[in-house]
Amino acid sequence: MNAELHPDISWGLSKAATLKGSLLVLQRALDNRFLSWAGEINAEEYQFPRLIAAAHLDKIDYFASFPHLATFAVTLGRDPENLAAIDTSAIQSAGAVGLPNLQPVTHVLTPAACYHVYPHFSGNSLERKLVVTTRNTCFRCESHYNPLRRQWSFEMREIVVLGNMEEVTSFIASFRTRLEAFFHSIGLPVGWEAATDPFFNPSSNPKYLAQKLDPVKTEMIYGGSLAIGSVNFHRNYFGEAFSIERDGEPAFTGCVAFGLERWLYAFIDHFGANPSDWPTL
Amino acid sequence: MDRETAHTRLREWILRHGKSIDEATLTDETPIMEKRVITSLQLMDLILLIESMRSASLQQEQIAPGSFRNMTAILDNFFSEALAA
Repeated sequence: MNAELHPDISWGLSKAATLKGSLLVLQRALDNRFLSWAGEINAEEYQFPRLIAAAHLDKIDYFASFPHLATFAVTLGRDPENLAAIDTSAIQSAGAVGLPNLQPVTHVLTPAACYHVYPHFSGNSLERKLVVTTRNTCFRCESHYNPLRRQWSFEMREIVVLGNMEEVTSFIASFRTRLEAFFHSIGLPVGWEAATDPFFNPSSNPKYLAQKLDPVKTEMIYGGSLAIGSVNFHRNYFGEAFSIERDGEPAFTGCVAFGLERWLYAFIDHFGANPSDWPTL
Repeated sequence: MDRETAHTRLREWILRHGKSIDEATLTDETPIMEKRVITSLQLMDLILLIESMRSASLQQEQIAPGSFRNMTAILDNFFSEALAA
């Protein structure tokens, strides 16, 4: 399967591509480009853990909106008898481990890089606009997986702004302009489309309807269907959930997110497999 | 229901249910969804209110991005003269 895309990709049982050589160089160059944009607007860089507390995600109704995407960090009950009861008999045939009793599940593997930012600033009253950038390995359980395009784990770089409504909307508008110019300069055909988040049972979720009526997510679409990134206006949803204030009111937030593996796919698909044909970043 | 009555009832409803909003700050152009004066849960109630004021269900094709952006948009979309005619 790897050869179909690029010789520097391999695809095994992990439902995420293994990369080497030229693709790692490209991934690093892309991320450096995003970091440089973040630096231009004085973003402070953070590295958050790979696990996020379920208690944080609960504050934003994550388990009602996206239960199907969550990958939980589970650990086994400490009792030696329980630990010994792990069932490995079906691993080789079906790939599945039989688990005995679990300890209480308290953490989730990060589903989106920016989810760490809002609890981190919980309770803060911001005196000025705050810009943060962070990259994380993100995990989303999907019904099917493809190398680079849809993986269980993938790399996401985000640039996040916290401020008042005008500060956030102007951040989003300026990033969109910057990205349009960038796509044009490197010759990558990317369009913009209003999108909704992949809600569980969308027809009965008022948040889905609200997003349809007041689009807050705009995706960068390569090749007509692959979202390689998005700009998102969260309104004051996170500010309210985590008691972050700006101007004495719940802070507004927004982010621009880049799915690094999908950028690799777009580059290989559009410019070809040979690194010498790739545009300079 | 005429536009003026609809305007009055809509304004009363938003002031009663909306967050961080009062008589002085609510205008016809206040972006009630963008500023989350109305949350997504309340949006359902707002739709029910509009339906009861119009004595008719809203059809899917009548609902589009921006339809509920502010009071002016709601009145234009659901209580205009053309619709009443």
